[in-house]
Amino acid sequence: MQLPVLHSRFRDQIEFDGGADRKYQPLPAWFRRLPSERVAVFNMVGEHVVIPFSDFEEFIRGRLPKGNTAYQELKSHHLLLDSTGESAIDLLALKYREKHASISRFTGLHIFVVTLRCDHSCPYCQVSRVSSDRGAFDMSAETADRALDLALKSPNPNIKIEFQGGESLLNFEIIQRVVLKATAAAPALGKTIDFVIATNLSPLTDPILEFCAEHRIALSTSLDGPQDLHNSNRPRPGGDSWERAVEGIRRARERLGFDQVSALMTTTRASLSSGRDIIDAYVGFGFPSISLRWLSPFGFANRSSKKIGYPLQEFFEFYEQGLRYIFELNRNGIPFREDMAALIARRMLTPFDTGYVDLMSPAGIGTAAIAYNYDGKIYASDESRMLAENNDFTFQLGDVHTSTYREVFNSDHLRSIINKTMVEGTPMCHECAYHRVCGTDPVVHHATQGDMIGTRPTSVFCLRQLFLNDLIVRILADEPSNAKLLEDWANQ
Amino acid sequence: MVVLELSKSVYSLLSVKSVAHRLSAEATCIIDDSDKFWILGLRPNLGLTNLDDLACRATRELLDQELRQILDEKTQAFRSVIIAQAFSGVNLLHPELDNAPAGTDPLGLSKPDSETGRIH
Repeated sequence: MQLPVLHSRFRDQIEFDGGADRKYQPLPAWFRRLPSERVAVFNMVGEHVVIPFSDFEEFIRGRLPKGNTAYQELKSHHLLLDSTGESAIDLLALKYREKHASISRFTGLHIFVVTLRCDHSCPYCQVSRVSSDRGAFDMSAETADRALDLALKSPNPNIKIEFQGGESLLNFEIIQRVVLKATAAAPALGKTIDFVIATNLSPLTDPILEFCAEHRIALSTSLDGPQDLHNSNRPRPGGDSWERAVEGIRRARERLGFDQVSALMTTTRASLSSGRDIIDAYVGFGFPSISLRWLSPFGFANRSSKKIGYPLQEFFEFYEQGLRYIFELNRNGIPFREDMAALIARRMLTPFDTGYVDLMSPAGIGTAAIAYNYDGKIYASDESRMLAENNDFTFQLGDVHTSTYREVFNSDHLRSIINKTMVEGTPMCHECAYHRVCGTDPVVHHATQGDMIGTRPTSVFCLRQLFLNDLIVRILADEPSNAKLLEDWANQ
Repeated sequence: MVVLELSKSVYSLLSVKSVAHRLSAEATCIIDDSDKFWILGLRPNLGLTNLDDLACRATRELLDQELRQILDEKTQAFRSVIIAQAFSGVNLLHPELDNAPAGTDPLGLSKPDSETGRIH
């Protein structure tokens, strides 16, 4: 007896070769040319194939023979429908829905800016104030309570509360208050709540660590690389930012667990020549990955750009050299990951919704993340409140003291912003091969181009994303061993 | 300044406009209309002087835009169906599956292909 499944796989050659009379229907596709007369063709859910441009042209014009290798490649990636591939539409719909799953869950990340005070004076920081005036820059108990009320009204069953600053530990009393109240309220609301504190670790004490351990609070810190670079990027009295961060990481890992401490770096001009040293520092401290992040084009960072900024092309070189060094480390038996490359690979190679709030369509502002500022003002994202510190209140959605949940999250203002962030309706994005694995950022475009939609040919955001996507596609197509690493990262 | 005369019987105005938009970071673009041609004028921005390269990019972009339009026309209906199916509360493609009694097998999934005539 022949099993039906096997039977369907082992068919006569003629089934694959077909004949000239066999017709096919192209399915939604977007393309981008690659070197060597090839083209990357993406389907509706971000999967892609790389085929010769001449085959692609024949495909579009309805003349691609069934025996052609590209035909089978296109068919297997739901880019072509013929009489033997009836499930493609169902599968595309299913994957499309899964890729957008986070939209229906609504706002999951709630950022509490508990203080603007900080002991550091980093030139790239958008918001911090070196001040001892607690009243002027700290979140009050009343403001925190009202912000928490709004956060807990989110329909999302899985809430993450992230405490930001300034240096958030300088207002640890408010962090404790929010954690205790949220933890007490969560069971009755059927929610799970995760907490993370963004901190430079400088004010870390044993009682703080005890509280974090008791409530499973994760710590996210800044580590710009080796000692000299870090201390130069992140000045503080005593010039010992790196020493304090490193000691804090050690103590926090010891008390909270190794995986409860993560780190982020920011690339300044001084970082550009130290890519390997930065990565080595992360490897040396046992971090599993690094995100080679560009300099945010906001606020203080923007004003300091003459000192710490750089042309985009120099960042591209820094990034690619760093990524290739990480590949080399992996080949030498050191497992390590670059997070942006992993994110893009995950979007291109898996059917899952990655939910990265800075790169979504529609943008994650308000619907995936929201920021409650120290003074009670509510902003559509962390970057929005950074703009507000420079007197641009475009993305202010309300005030915790006066606004209801509905007034904030169902406001015409938020909906009008979100309407401008769909890649399907954004000039050039709508026809871009990468639009299913990319997103929009109305705050960056507003800040850099004076328009939330923005103009793609001169958009630094778009140029950066094109570079990153081009690089990942090229590696996947032409570098088998590095492609294997990207596949591994995508599935981690 | 590069001036391209583009036959109206080959290129649509939408394609010409799209190319002008795409190249707007590198050149100031002017579009004009003569009897049988679209006229696309490209004046390179400061620092960009390679006119041949600019013309080459423009013509390649024109071909790409034409291909995009063909694709768009051929697949627009499918795009709408896929999105509708993705977010619909009911099965739009196979409504019979929503209405079938529990325990039945309307697609014959349990039967061998030889009985259903299905080809994968």
